[in-house]
Amino acid sequence: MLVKRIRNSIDEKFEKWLRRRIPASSSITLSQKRVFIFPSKAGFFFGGTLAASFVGGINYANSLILALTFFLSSVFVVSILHTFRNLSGLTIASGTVEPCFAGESAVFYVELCRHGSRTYEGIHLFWEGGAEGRADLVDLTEVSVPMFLPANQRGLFRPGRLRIETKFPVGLLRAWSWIDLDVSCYIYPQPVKNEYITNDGVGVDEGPVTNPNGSDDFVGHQQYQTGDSLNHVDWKILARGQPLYTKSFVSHGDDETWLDWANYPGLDVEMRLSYLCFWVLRLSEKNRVFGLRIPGNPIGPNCGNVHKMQCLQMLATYNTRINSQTQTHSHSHSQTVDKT
Amino acid sequence: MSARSYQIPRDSLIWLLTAQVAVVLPHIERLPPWITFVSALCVFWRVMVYQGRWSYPGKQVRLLLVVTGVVGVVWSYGTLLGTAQGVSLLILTYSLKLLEMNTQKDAYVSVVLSYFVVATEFLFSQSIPIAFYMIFVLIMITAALVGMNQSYGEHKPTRTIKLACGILLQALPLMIIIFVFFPRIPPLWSLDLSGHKARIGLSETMTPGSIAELGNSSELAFRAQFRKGEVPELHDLYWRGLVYSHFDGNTWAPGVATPGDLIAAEGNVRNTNGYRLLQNKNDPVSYTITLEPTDQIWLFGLEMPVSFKNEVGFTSDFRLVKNTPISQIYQYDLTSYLDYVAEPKLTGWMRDRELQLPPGTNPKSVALAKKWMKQESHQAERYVGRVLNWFHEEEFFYTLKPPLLNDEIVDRFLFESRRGFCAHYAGAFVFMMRAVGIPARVVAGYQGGEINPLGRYVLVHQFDAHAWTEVWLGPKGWVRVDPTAAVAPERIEKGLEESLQDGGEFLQNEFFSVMKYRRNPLVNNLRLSIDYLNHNWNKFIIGYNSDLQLQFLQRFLGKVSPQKMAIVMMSLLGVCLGVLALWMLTTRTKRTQETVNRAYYQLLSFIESSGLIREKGETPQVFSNRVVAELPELTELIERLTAKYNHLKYYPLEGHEKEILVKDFQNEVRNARFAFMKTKMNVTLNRN
Repeated sequence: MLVKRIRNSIDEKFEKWLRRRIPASSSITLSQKRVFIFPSKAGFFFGGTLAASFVGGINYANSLILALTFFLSSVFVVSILHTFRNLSGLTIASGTVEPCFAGESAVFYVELCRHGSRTYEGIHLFWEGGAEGRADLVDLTEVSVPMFLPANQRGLFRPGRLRIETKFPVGLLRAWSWIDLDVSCYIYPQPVKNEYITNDGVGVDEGPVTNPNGSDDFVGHQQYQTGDSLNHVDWKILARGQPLYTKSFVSHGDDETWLDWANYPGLDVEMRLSYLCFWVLRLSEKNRVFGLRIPGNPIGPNCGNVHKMQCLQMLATYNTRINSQTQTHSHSHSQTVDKT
Repeated sequence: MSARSYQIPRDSLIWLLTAQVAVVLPHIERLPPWITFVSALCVFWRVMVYQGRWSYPGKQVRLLLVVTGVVGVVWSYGTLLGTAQGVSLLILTYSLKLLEMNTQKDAYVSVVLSYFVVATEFLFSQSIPIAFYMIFVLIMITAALVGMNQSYGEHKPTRTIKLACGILLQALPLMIIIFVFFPRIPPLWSLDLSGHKARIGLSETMTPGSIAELGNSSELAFRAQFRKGEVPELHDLYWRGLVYSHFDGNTWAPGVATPGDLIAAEGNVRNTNGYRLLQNKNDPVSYTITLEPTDQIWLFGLEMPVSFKNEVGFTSDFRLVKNTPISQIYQYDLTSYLDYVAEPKLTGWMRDRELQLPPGTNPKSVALAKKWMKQESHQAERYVGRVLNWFHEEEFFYTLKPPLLNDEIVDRFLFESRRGFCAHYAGAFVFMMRAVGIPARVVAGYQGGEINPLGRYVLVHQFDAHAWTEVWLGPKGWVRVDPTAAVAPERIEKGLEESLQDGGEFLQNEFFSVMKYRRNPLVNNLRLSIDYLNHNWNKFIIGYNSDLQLQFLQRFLGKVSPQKMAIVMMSLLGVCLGVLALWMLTTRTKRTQETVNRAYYQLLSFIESSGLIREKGETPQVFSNRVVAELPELTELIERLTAKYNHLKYYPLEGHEKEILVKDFQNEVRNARFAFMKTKMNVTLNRN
């Protein structure tokens, strides 16, 4: 118990120190003070062997064994510079992020960029819990490394610090840094197939019946956002020299379609969200107009990519104020520290 | 074998296997053949595993191999203790490790062990060729290490080896600094390295034929570098090593040792017994001997030597002994008094020791000795002269191939065969002395040597091995008498080769020895130059000990203290590392623009050779048009290159893309040379 508390406080202090030394930033160039270096396990084994051959050289008064020992020690010292050089000066930036559903892997792209004549080889990237990423910057000056991170919980996912490390060229030393790239991505609830429940409480497997090409009415304009269908762009407005606007339609085939939280009584929160998520996807796929009604923040009926994203994000973050970055952080760090 | 077994990168594996073969190769001559075989098998097996034909052996098989290996070593050597056994075991495990490479850790262990096996080779040989060979092995091992840490995508073997060479090259100055300055600590515990190889050299006992065997070996015994370069006359070079006082009728052996001598043999006693017994010490010569390994404790020195080394003792019969067997090249300083009086007062028990004879043997010799002693009226010196004269006048032969003698060997030698090597004469002479009550003993060592004009040092070979005698003549003490000199004076004056009546006997079994061709000045100069190199290598690199370090550093730093040494070493290392860090950690942008301009000037020079010169202020485009008008057959080439030049010069390009384009432009300009040469030739042909 006490040990745990002491460890937690050490972790906290370390985290604080690290935050001061390497503050969160979407792009970071590894300066001298941001790179840590320490012998690897192989390095310690190498050191032990050197110690043994040194004692041998002394005991047998053998000049060449001593010379070899000194030579290999020098190799070790020189490789400190080499390993350090293979990380310092490298620029790391956050690239695009691909959100995902709970249970899948989110993809964060990490951009690495070198400057001038300096090349980098055997760079390894780790994110707590995710797969290892590798990169070489010899011929290329920039690479984008996809980092797959399994996401189990819906919400706004902030991965902890990215560990960038290298053992190149001789593997006897490990240089590393912890970078907070200040990235986050939405983890949507895992969609679960279910029957559509109309507002009257009747289950319909195929969803609400409407005619998508039917008597949709124009209701107004919305500023264009990436992902909106070009079919809905109001070209006339554009021709007048104004920015892109899209026309919004509302289907009147039947009454407004609402995905309603209240339609799933008795289910727990996560299940409801999963059910709603399924229908958000299904209806968006069919390009249908629908509204989402969840407690506290209803989203009016609409369609299109932006609308879909808005709904999914709403589902992802519903009631998740606890899912803050600090928790993820200290958790990931207590383990990272152990490894070092 | 686990499904997720680690795959060592191909490049790394190739280097690792090559290094493994290379590192075991010099050990082969000392290893039991089966270990060599196992090692080769492991490499082969690993190659097969790589090719996917075989799989790694299972855990039981590996365990069985290890146990069999240990048992095998015990079976081969009879024990597991000892350096040679340890190295054998190391090589065995190191080879077997190849068959267990499931994780990256295993691969690292294998590589780091390779470095260690390199170190063990130096226990057995520290020669120049081995040292340079090992540098290549180090490059290979380091390449294997680098290869392991390169990602799969970046695989180019030359890149790996270049990087390995770079790292080693950068480490070299640091190594030299540490080597020079790092204090040489005395051994923590003493180790015995002997017993791995039969050494050629003098042995602890002497039978009549034993020294003659050495006459056939041109191996080096030691080198002696005289201070001030003053080498005494060849016939004064009696390198004393052993004293034989006990004769059992067949074999000469050392006499009973005094307690003091036993202490001396343990070393750590400075100037024991012997020094006290020496009197009238005049004309000292100082020199340094670099002794080749003998696996014995005795040291050689000019009669009479005095050493001031702590680990060297000096016995009451004037022998130098070291506390541990000399299993590696050993360097020691000596002072010798060529003019000396040794032990003018003989103690009773010593007298008894030096008069011992097996009773009742060799009656004819004893009778002759007694007769002559009586005739010379019991005057020892005259009697000695009589015997020597007899050797000189009578038909005695000096030969490397004396007939074998059994029983009563002195009688048989003196009255029947009369053919012998130095050991026969020395033994017989001492017998004749002792038979009439004159204390005498056999001394063995080397006589003479060869002076290398480069460096003025003396080379002493095994064929210079010699046995002579010492006779105690009252107040004169022990006087050296060399009966061989009476039989074959050339031996002492000119060396063995000159003295053998049958010239073919010299180095008969060494068909390819360079020594045989030393009459050829070219061969001989080469031989002596190589030896000079070896001599300096042994003196300054192999023999770099705390004494030499002190001498060397005093020359440059004045007074040396440990603090001063540490400070100088650290600051030199710091400077080296600082320069290296600065060079490595500064970002350099390649000066591509300059390269582009240079290439364009090259192009201009080609055009100029066709008689067209770009004028001041003429833009590349305008000039290009003018050239095309004159040389229509090169239109395409010139227009293309000009366009590229303009593109590179005036369009903003960044990074790697630009580098490729610049290189491309450079290459194209270079190749354009041939097009210009062709047009020029056409022009000349057309004119004709």
